[in-house]
Amino acid sequence: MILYAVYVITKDGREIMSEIFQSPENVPNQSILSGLLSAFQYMSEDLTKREGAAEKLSLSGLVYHIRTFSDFMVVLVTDADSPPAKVIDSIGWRFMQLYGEEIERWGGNQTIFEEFRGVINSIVKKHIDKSRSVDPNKRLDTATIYLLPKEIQSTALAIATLEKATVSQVAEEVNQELADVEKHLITLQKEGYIGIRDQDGELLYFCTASI
Amino acid sequence: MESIAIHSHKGGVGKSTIALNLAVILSNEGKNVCLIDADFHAPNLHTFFDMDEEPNYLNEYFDNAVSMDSCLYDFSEKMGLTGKLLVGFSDPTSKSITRMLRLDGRTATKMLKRLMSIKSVIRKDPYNIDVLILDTTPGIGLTTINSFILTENILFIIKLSNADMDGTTHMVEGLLESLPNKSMMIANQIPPDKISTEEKRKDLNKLIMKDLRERSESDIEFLGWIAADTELLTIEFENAIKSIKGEASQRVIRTLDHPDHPFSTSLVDIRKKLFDI
Repeated sequence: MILYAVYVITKDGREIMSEIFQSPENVPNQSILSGLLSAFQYMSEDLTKREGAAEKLSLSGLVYHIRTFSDFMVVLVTDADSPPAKVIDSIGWRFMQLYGEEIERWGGNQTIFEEFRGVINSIVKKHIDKSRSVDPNKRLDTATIYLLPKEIQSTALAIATLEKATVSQVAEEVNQELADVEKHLITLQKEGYIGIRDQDGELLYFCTASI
Repeated sequence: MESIAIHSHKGGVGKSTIALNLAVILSNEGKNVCLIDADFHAPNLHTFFDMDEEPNYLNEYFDNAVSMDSCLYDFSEKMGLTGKLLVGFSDPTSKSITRMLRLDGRTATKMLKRLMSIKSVIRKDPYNIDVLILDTTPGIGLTTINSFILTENILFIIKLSNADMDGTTHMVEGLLESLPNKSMMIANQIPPDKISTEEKRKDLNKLIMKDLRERSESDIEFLGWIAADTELLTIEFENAIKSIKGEASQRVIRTLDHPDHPFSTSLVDIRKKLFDI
């Protein structure tokens, strides 16, 4: 799973805080998004007569997973259809634990939640692109690989197939020099096709499995 | 591991026959070969093999319905070959072909990743494959692009008619701009008397290379000629009649049944120019 963004919003649609882990060009207007998700939740609750009825919303290959916690909602934007229950619960319960009382009488000052960014980052670190340049709209599909520069096509195909791998794993797959493969991976990463994360002290390149 | 896509602009130029016979030649040299029927619009490699029951098709592997192992069949023992000959078949049923004709980008990418997984696994133990051969879908489509992305070499098969030559050079030029593959070409089904002497073949080689250079800026290498096999046409016809009548019949694999036949010897010469291994 790739996590592209985390939103914490009030039930009436005000943005409490957001943490974005993707290329900035495609980040939606947070205020509009908060309002839209809140309205969507109200409509779902009205239709089903059940609190927190809306659990996910799919838009252009991105899935917005929604979970209501008393006075606020946590929304996770991912590439995977299956709910990231553990992550969304951890964020929600920690936020409630730290700011449950403040949020009941919150006047709109977002700065009081700044420290919570660190909490979010420690919970989601296994699922995000640390360079924050991955573009959810860019996927390594057949046509895209075909149109990439010749020299990086095999690296692109290898990482698309492996889904996550170190430079040496990709180099072994394509039977090319480590330095060349690293250069290709950096190009793909800068172009927004793949992300990068630390895993047990190793640098791991990854791309969406959702094609 | 070497990998090659056997491709043509149109169907009916002998692509599958050449792919299979090339696989047999390499396997008889002691190489371990994997031959994949990647002509998902009109698969026919299965017609060369005598199978006791319907095989697991690669299409089922793409859908996660079967394992990779279970859809690769080793015919080396049955065919008396020195090296391995693993063959993966594509589903020839109309339902599957219809699905392939409506293929979307998402499914094509899933197929590409699955084919890449096969390529990745077969070069290691216990397969230790030396050469991967893909019999592609003629023309240009997503499944063809998959085959090209997956292989390091492309062998284009042409029949020397104006339409095929023209279409092939246009296709080659458009394709090779975007691909790093080494590209080669052979001409098949040539009237035997036109290539009966070394001198005639040399003259034709010069002519075709000049034409290729004029038509296309791509660096494509012309490897040779294969004469039309009229005897094979008769055998194939007779086999088809037998099959219609419900009698046992099996397609001829020239390099196996008649290694001294001109088709076989021409292909052996071409094989020498293909890879250094």
